[in-house]
Amino acid sequence: MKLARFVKFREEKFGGVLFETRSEKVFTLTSTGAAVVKEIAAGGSAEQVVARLKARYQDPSGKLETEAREFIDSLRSQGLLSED
Amino acid sequence: MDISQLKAPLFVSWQLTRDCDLSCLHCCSESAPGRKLPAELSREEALRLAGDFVDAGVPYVMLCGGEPLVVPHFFEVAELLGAGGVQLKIETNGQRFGSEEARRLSRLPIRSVQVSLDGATPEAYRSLRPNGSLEKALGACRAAKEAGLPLEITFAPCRMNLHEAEALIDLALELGAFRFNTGMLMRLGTAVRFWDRLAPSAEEYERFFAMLERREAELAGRLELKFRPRSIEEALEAQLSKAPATLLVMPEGLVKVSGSLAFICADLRTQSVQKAWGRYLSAAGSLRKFDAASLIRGEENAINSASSGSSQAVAQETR
Repeated sequence: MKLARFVKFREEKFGGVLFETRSEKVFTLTSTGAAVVKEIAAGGSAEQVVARLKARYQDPSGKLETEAREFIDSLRSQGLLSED
Repeated sequence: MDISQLKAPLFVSWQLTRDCDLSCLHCCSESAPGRKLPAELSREEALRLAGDFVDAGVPYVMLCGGEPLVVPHFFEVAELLGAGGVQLKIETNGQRFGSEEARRLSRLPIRSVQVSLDGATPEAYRSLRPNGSLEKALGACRAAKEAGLPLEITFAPCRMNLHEAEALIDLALELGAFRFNTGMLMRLGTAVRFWDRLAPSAEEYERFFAMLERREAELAGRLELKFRPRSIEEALEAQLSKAPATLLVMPEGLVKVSGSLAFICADLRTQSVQKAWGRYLSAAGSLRKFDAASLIRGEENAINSASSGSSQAVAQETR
């Protein structure tokens, strides 16, 4: 899993932006969203991305894992991720 | 999104030169052979600026002109940006874009190559581009596709070619383009001088946009038809209500506040991208006080008289 061909990510003070250059649509990310996208950009499956996030941030309630998975699903449904 | 929260622009439209190998009647930038501006950025300055865009984290740059491929350092600029991960759009008339150029670009993160096709027949094409070759432009489209580059077609509607608009949409589809860009002819640049010969009538535009809406529905999922906003006035209105995170860079490194207005807000020959971005944000804020109609009236005054009061007032506020 990685960012789709025409998707660019940039970190910002407020979190980050995802820019889909083909449609020229911009998605604003919170700092949590930006942390997830940074891990996606680093490569690996959804499982690996979630595992790295859990290793980096404390997640005793499992809330981070749930939110990260939902967020990844949302990115996928909007065509912002590619599986190859 | 509040663009003032962004650390840098998301998109840069960079007019590398005003020089061009064609003399089109409808050109919006007064480009033609030998029309290079005296103070255009040198190779060294252009490469330094490309590096600055990379360092600033600009994700997407369009290289245009004039004709960008007449610039001797065009590929060096594109390759420097591409090596820095910047996605690129190349706007070309296709007269000097063949297999070799397409293959060289295919090594870069190319978002698209946009070829201007203003006629489906050589007669209509040459009526607007007197020294141009439709065959070469079509060859450029095919070369881009063969090299795996996403292709866009642009069509400027004029009296001489409007009757071929629908045939061009079919041609764009056949060529494998993903988007067909059009809208009302822009009364800018060379087109101003030939306006009475060029501009379609209100009735012609009405039929044109009705055809576009019909074809848009028919071709959904196969070819995007992009024709909104329809005019520069509508585009300016949209920009005034919501400024884009875009820097428009002229061949001398000057930054324009808007494509359809002459106001300059920064100079990238002497100022950093961050400084230019800050000045753009400030200028865009100043423009919000105006409506598009008054700004365009001001622009016409500015063309007729360089000391037009309204244009000076805005120019001062942007400094």
